[in-house]
Amino acid sequence: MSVVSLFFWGILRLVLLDFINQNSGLPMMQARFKRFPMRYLPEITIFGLLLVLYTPMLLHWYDGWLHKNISTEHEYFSHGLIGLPFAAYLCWNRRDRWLQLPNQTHPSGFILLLIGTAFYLSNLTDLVNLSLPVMLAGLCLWFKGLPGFRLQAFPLLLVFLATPNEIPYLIAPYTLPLQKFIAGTAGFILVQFGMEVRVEQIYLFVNDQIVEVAPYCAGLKMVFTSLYVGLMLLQWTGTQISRDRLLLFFPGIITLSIVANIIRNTLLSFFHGTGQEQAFEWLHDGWGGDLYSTCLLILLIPLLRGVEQMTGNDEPDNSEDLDDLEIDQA
Amino acid sequence: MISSPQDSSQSPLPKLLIALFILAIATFITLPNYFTGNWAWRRVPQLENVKALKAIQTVGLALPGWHTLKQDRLEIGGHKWSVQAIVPEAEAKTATLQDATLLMLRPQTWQRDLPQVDWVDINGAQRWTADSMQSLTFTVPNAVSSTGQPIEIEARFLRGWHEKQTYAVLQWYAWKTGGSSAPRSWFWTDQFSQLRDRRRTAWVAVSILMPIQPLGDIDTHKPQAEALGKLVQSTLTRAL
Repeated sequence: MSVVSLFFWGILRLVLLDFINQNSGLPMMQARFKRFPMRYLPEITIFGLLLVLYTPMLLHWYDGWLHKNISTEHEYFSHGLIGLPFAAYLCWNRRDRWLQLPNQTHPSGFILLLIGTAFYLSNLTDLVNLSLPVMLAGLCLWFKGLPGFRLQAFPLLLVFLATPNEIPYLIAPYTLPLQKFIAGTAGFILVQFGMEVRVEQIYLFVNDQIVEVAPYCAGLKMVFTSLYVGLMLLQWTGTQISRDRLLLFFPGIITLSIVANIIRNTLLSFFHGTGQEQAFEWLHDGWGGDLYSTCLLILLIPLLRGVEQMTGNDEPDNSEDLDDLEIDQA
Repeated sequence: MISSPQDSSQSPLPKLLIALFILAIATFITLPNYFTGNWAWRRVPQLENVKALKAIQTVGLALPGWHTLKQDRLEIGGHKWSVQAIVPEAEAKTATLQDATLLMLRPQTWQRDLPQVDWVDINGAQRWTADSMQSLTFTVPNAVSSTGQPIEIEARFLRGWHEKQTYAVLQWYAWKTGGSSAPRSWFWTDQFSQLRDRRRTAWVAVSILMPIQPLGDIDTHKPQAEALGKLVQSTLTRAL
């Protein structure tokens, strides 16, 4: 909780200091507003209203992600813990380019603002959550038209992908083949170690103990988080993007997290089957799981380096900036 | 587009006022929440008629025209199911547990209890081979309003068999205004009723296991399954 409030106050202070510095040389309009940047008053007001509207919601998300007291589905979006500050940072870095953009309006901005407000005031938690990216996209389109939206497309994408919703629930019934695959492979690995294992569909029978590879154990959370962090990593390292690289990097991430998840499920079955309940709890519910995920995320860095080396650095014709690529896709 | 970069930071007033106006309305409506703490994620409507749902879990369902030989609460896939051995009332005296139909019910009993992989759980518990999978659609009269459209149920109908027994199996999630074997159908109904009426839609997972001849053809048992399905759905809608 304190992290996010610190973050917000930090940003607000930066914004205010920046304005004061920029405006200190300008002739003062009124003595009363000596130190107040009148020029940016509208922007500050809008930012303030957004803060009033969304601070409690963001606190709720952060609290839920940190203390795991949000619903299982919404926990899938805990990558927002780092994604949202990163999006804010990227957005702030683009402020000069934003100010240089010509003043224009896209009518969809107005519509999005209305939809965002309606979502915000609705009864459904998911729609209230969704109102944040809708509102932000609406503001971009309303104040700077399509160029403004394109400029902020990547931060907006990060916010959108970190907005908790029920999609993990809706796709859970379709993970059955993956669950069977994980159960089968984990069983195969355990047999190689000379253990007596029988696999039936998504159930592993180890020494008469049953381990179920449940839908939420299928590792989709890990896949989502890895893909999200991979996206951030591409932006952060400023890797020159080519289609070849994307085609290697993202399937690579998916493969890596599925393999990691098979190993995790194998270990869990091993611990449960051999009666090492403490180790099972540690890896299943305790900080062992978090440690495991962190190690996997760190592995993304060598993966990206590997992809860079495999595709070579000297092909400027094929490479594009990530922003440009997003514009192409938009 | 026409304006020069110099004055671009100075937004035209009407545009700005419109954005401010929209945000201010939302803020004005939201502001009291800071004092009441009544945020959207805190006011998720509670599940109604929990009592009726828990009763189904504990004692099962009394079906008109059917006699219950035995009823029990079993744990399957980490959830509590009511498992009921039922026979037609006419055969109540002579019937044995062996040829009784099994009515398995798992009602929602709390807020975050969502229908999910109950059919897989049953497969796992029965350890049977499931085949001849198809969907079976039937309708029951609308329980909410007598003039309304009849309720359409899309259930799944399959054969489950192991060495001991072969069953014709009918499975679906039932709720007051409908039923489907796919969790997402319930999900959208529930979201819509939350959005419009601030009410949750409680669900009950139904699994009917009718014993048939070893490796028999389930198509010949379709009419029976459909009749029983209709009876269970309409009894449930009255109970909820």
